[in-house]
Amino acid sequence: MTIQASETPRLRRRTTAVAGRRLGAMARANRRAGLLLTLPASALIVVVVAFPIVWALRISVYSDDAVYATGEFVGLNNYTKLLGSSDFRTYLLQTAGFVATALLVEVALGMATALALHGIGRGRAVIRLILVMPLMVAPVVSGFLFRWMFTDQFGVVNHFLAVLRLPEPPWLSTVWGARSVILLSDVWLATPFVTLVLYAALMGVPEELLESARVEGASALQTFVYVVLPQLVPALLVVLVFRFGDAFRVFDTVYIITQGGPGGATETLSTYIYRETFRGAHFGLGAAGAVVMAAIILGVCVGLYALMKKRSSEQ
Amino acid sequence: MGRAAKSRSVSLLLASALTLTMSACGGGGQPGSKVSGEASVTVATLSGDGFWNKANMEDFTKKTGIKLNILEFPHDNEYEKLVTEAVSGSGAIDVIMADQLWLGDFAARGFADPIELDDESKADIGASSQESLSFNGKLYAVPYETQAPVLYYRTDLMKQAGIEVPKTWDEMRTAAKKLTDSSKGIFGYSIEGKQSIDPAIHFIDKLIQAGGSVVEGDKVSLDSPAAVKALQYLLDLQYTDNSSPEGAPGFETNDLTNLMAQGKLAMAPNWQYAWSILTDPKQSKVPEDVALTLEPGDVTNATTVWSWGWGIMSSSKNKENARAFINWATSAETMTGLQAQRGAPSPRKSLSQKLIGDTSLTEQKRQALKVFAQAVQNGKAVTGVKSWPSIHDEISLMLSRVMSRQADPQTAVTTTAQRIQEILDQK
Repeated sequence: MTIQASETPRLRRRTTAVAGRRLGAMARANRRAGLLLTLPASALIVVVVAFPIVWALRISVYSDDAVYATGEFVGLNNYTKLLGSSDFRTYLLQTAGFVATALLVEVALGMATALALHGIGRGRAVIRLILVMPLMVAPVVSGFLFRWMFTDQFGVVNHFLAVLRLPEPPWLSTVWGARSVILLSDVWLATPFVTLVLYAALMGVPEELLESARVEGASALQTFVYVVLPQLVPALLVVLVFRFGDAFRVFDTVYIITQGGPGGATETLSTYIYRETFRGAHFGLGAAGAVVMAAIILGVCVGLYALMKKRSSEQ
Repeated sequence: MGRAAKSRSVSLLLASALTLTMSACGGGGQPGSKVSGEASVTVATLSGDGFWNKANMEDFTKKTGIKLNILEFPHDNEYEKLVTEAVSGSGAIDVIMADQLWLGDFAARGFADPIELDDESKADIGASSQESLSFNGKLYAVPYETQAPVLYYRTDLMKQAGIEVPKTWDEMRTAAKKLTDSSKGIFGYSIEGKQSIDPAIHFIDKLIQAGGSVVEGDKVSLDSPAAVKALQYLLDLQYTDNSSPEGAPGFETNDLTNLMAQGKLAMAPNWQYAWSILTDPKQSKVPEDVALTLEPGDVTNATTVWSWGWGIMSSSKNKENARAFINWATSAETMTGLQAQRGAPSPRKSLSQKLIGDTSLTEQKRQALKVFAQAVQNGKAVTGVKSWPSIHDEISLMLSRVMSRQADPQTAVTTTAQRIQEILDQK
């Protein structure tokens, strides 16, 4: 069949329309297939994630025996009791202090390590491998490692200090000694993550920007502050979002190394909630504590996300 | 097959695998249920052999025909796991290996059933053992192990220093001072100040020795001169006499056992289990030079008494089988085997007397057994109170605060007494 020259644009339009319809149908079919395929897993995730949250919210407004069928609705009593508790306020402050210090140290160390790694020519892969090793260690294991290393009398740290004829501090029996060990354990576990994220971001800094800074005669510090750092802000925000949530929930290392001691000096919100819930059998109060803690983490993370969004829209 | 179709098939395969994996993870039957009509009982025990050799348990099925399912929990959070199970009321566990530390609280919350002993067992099992696992006058677990802390000491160091074993706190301070030799890294004594379970137990021992107590009825009795004196005694040993290692405010009992096994500690309170470590040449540098005696006291030399026993979960759906298991586990026959394996006196008086009278044992061992039995006989049970785990936590916190010098004894005692009363007043 021959096609008349005058019919060609019409035919082209029709062909395009048919192709468009077909593509649209295919895209819709793909979307449907995608939805169907992920539906079981998504439903399972909703149940696994949403159910405990709803259950915790429910328990938090019932009396301590709410986990039995006989629980009595107490409204916001558990929240009032929690916020009025001096223990809660003390451990919230201690947790905030720990989070702020840990994040500061981890970001500073992670940044320094990422910059050093970026500047290395040979052996980068090996160093990277060594750096990620702590990421493979469970916090409980790290807790045991640090407890043994810093135990007074038998610990390897004090053994080396003794060999060097330096004072051997009683790490775990003094307030600041114990806090330092918990902090060190967290820094050891988390800094590799910070390093890797910042290192990846450093790799993405355009070479032309660095080149023009060099041409303009900027010093290394000026290049870092005015050229590199602004490029790392999105990555830093990602680090802060992840690390804030993790550090705020710290439990394992504290439980293993000090059990909150000496004298409650390393107690955190998580260990306090655990103790109230399971040892004190105050399920309502514990659930209220968990909800408040989740709200704090959510609030800060939403703030950081907003900053990230603002930043990317500015860019 | 086209690329799109191929990738769709792969996705389908992955999604199915994910779903299957997730459903597999969530699977599993009810351990306490009857397996195809077969009679069974599910027993929750501590991980490892701990206080009970699980190899023995096969004998139960041979004798009764009841299938035995064992669930193991680590000591550190056994109570938390059992509370969670009790609260769910699923009936997945029938029998519990109960620690006296939390049994009273467990019973008060209605999680365990009271148990009636037969006349023979009632007469044979020691009174302090029975009392330690009772709440409001009712027994909630049948004891198979009862211990009371005793004082371990180095016979060779005592002899070299020409001193007698201390019987009072004053004598203890003098002896500990004399036995401390910092040039050799040897300490006369070691306190325990870690915010943990055992150090709090050993503080309560000192409190009893000073004539005090934690709770009387439903009222706190901690705020007393005896409590302040007990804390001051430990502070004096640590900071005034320097007879205790610098890191001891962060120590718990395992640290004391290690130090003594290394030959670095002359005297320390400890449990029965430490005997097998300290007298074993493979684990101790001083196996021949360790002996023990009752703890020195102020107005008494008694200590607390601590038991483990077998109890029945109130949510159990196999209570008859549970009772059959407990009858077997605490029978004279089973306990004889257990006593022989552990080499420690049984709560059954008839058995412990036999063990102490066994002339095939060394004199050192027989002496030790006598002291263990005497300490248990003198021992006081303190935990038959609702919310004892929380009260115990408060005592741990107080001790740790005082020993790490965050609070003075009087302030710490007053504050802790108020907090304990608040716990007691809770519904």
